[in-house]
Amino acid sequence: MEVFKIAVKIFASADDFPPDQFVPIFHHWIQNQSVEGHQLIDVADYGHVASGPGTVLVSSEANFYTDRAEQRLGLLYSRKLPLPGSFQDRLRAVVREALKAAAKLESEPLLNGKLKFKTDELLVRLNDRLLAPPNEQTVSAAIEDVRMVAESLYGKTVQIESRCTPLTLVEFRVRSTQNPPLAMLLAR
Amino acid sequence: MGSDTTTGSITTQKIPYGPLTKGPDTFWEAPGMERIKIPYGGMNPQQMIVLAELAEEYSDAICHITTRQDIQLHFINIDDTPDMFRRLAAVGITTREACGNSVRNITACPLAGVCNTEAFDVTPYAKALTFYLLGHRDIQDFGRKFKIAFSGCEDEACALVSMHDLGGYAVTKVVDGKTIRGFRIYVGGGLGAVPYQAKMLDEFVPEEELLPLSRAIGRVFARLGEKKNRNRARLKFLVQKLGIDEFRRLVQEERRTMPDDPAWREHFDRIPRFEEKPGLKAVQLNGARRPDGYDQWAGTNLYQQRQAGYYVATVTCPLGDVTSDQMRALADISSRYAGGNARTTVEQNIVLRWIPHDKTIDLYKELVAIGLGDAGAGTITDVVACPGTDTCKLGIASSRGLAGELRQRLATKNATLDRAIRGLRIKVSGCFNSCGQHHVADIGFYGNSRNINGYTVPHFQVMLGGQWSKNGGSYALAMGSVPSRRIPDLVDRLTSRYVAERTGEESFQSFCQRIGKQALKNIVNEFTAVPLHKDDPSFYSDWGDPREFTIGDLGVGECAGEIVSLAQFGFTQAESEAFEAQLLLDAGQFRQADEKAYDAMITSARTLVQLEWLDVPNDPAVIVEEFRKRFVEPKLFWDTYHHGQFANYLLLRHEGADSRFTKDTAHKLVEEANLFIDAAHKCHAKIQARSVSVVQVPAPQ
Repeated sequence: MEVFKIAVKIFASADDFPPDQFVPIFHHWIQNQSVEGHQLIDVADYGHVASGPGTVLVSSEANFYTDRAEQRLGLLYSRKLPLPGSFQDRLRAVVREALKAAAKLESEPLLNGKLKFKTDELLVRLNDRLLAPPNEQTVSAAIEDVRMVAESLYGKTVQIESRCTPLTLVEFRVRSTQNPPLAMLLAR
Repeated sequence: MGSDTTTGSITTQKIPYGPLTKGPDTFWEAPGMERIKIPYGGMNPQQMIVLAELAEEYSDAICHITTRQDIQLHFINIDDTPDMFRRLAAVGITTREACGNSVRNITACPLAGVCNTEAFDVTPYAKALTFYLLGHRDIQDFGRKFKIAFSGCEDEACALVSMHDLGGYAVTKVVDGKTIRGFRIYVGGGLGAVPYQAKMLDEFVPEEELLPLSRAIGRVFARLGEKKNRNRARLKFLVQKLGIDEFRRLVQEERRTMPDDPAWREHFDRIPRFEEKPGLKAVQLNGARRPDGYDQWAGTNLYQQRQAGYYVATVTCPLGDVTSDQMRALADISSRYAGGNARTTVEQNIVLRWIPHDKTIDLYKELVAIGLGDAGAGTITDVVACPGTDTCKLGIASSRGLAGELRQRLATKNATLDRAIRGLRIKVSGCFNSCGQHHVADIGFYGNSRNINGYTVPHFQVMLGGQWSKNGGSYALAMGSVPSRRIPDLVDRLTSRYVAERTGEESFQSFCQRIGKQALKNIVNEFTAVPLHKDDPSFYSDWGDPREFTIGDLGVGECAGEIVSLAQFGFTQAESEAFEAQLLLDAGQFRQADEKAYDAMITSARTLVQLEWLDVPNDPAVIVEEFRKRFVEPKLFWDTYHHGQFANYLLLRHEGADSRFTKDTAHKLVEEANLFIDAAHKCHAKIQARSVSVVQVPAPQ
């Protein structure tokens, strides 16, 4: 699979976090250019939109969303620029960037440790209808790579559900009985 | 973004022919905005689905509705645009001529075809003109953009014809016992830095003449319009320069010389075939149980069509933003309830037409379920804002930040607001260019800034008493700048005063006229003070952007102290003179208004000259010459994007007044004086930053 526009969402432990908390944090990240490998550019705040993308940190390589789709808060890392390697390599890299961003947000001093992420569920989305058209062939082509990456994080305890409708992007929901800290997943 | 092309980061990728740019100072790799033309705002479900998909895959999952019925996607990578164009074209959408010196999206009343006050449906005419002019050879040589709008009637606001380069009102007349359709054509309107009301070109243009006449107007504009100075290149300046009578003569002459074009008939012949059909049969509500919130929503968001049993539902889109998921859901809703008939509006909402009355309850429930069930469309909570500093390079202050704050505050107390207040409209622009249409709001704002004790403090110019109805029938006037942080309090104060002192059903515009500008100015003045930074640093950052934009962290040189207070004194005097000019304008004393506005610019220029020559004589000739030499020629009084536009306001007026001394000429100079003062503030801040830097940097050994 050639798709590189891959998005991964790490869900927050609680969804009632005030939406205006993230704007100063993301601006601070831009001022310090503190996300390695990303040219951070701008912040867009969509806190006024119901179940929307929340606050968006825009970089040239990816967008970082405090996404509230399905009324569930999470850090959504959405890759925009190509990555090297196979689809599995690219997926692994995107998952890693998402985990790193979530960990960075979790440890953000301005949040005083109030924001926590859980890791027993990951959402993987193939954000490109041209290279990953929403059909069963795409699901079949991607699912084993999704499983391999998930098992490298959680072992054999994962369950993977796919969603594929004509109107929505291909999605995989990875669920695990484990809920390890972000740092532990990043070390794997 | 930097311009170094050697180090390999995003700002420095190697590109074939040096640092390619895609606009002023914008590097190839920088994210861009894609404006997507939606003629007359009309979208079918398939188009809505594709817009949702593009936002999701290439943007930030937001479709932003503009004040000209376009859809904008932000943070686009230019390499993605070919795919986007193909996907849009596949559903009949083009982005061609959505920007640049061209005929922009042709807008129309979103109620066209279902409206109770229209003469006839303008939709097929807007559509025909869109595709007739798209890419036409005669409109490729404009010096500036050209905006067209159509309205079915004159009294409502829907298409804002008065502020367009070319606008048409649907009218009919009876000839030999037969009713014929036509348009009352207006030209030369526009907002921007200096707003102009459009002038009537022709009382009645028969429908078959619409396309040829529009082309003739385009040809005259292309031939005689300004090309070098972008700031004077809109049609409004040409009409002003020639006068409407001479412009009309030229257009008529041009029309006579134009050879017959079969395309006129091809487009025109399609017009009678235009038909919009409902998807469902009309059935009355007949006492069905209404869910909580429905009545409030229906009170502001439902409009009874002229076709019995059908309604138009306005979907309130906060700040014009709709997520990809919501847009997809709306496409589905539009298919099931509205026969696929959706349109964007100039108030940044979406209307769904042809909703049977009995389906409005189910529709409401479905809108609530996707987070788009807010009431208040077209009321004070439905604040309109351009993108401002969020994504626009010209933005000075955060229009969306302020709009969001106002919207939130007003929504929380909406139920307790007086009915008179609920009916007001607030519009916010990030700068004077008026993309947020602040000139036609009851209460409008545009972003500027003031330099206070070495800090740049975000402000908004307050514009009061604009007329939304009658297609933007008259424009608001500036009342002074207020720190961004105080704007919500000012809105509370203004609206409270209006409710307390309103007589009968007096409109806000009439109220403003009755109590007078001085009284309004006094209210505004209560909110102009800025506390010291140490006492309240919140004043030094903008809504929605907590960063402090300041030069204060460099430190304030002690030597600057005296100069700062002198400069502030001078600018205050200039602002006072500009306000006096507005009062004179209001009183119909156009010559005096012109002279007072000129005085205001002279005072501002003198204030700047005094930074370098304290004892400059109070002689306009000397002041202008010194201002030119010290500030204009070295490009200190200079804007990155508008270049010397603001300096020219003074330099041109100093050469001589427009001897006509009409309301329009005086109004123009008053607006220019306000912009000149803003630019002088900015220039002062720039000079101060430079002098502070000089203090800080030790001289080389």
